[in-house]
Amino acid sequence: MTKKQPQFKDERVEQARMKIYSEMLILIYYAICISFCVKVLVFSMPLQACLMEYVILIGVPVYQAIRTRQLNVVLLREEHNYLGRSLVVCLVLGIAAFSYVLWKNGGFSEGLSLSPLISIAAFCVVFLLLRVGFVKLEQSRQKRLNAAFDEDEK
Amino acid sequence: MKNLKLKAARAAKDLSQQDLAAAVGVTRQTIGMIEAGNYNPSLQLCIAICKTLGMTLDQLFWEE
Repeated sequence: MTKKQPQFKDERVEQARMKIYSEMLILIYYAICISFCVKVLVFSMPLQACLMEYVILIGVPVYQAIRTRQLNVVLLREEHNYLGRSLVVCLVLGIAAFSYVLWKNGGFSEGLSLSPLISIAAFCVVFLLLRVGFVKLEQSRQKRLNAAFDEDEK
Repeated sequence: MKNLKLKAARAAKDLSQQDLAAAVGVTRQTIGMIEAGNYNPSLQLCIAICKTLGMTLDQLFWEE
């Protein structure tokens, strides 16, 4: 019988592992985002054909929101303007998608196919609504936590 | 900055990096990196190292 090795977790290795996982998640998230845009804009697929991408793109931030609450951490930094940045990203994505569709269809004269734009816009609206809700909830939780641990407030 | 105090304390106890690593539950590389000053250990790990070597936090980790 082999001697069982003691189970331990090296904090440095764990930190490095978590860092690699988080980088992997970000890379995969961007890849899925690109996949969604290519499917909708280049291949003109309907939203139903991109359901998996849609679920992942919406599901990951929802999971993040649930886990941050469970683990009692606030990931937002006070100095960042998260809502402004999300709005700018969605606007840039919308303008880029609109420009691409316009270019693909040869301008307004040949009749503009709006279905890819509607898919992108629907995603942006859902994503923005979730983002606004998440940021507002986190900000109120951050204030609550700050007040709970602030000795001067007592 | 290199942690020579830790290295000296470990040598005084006649422990190798591997022995100390096994005693506190980390890998040998982590002990090597702490001694080389390339990794800042958590307080929990500092305390475990201090207890294993029979020293205080001040004696091992306080910079004059």
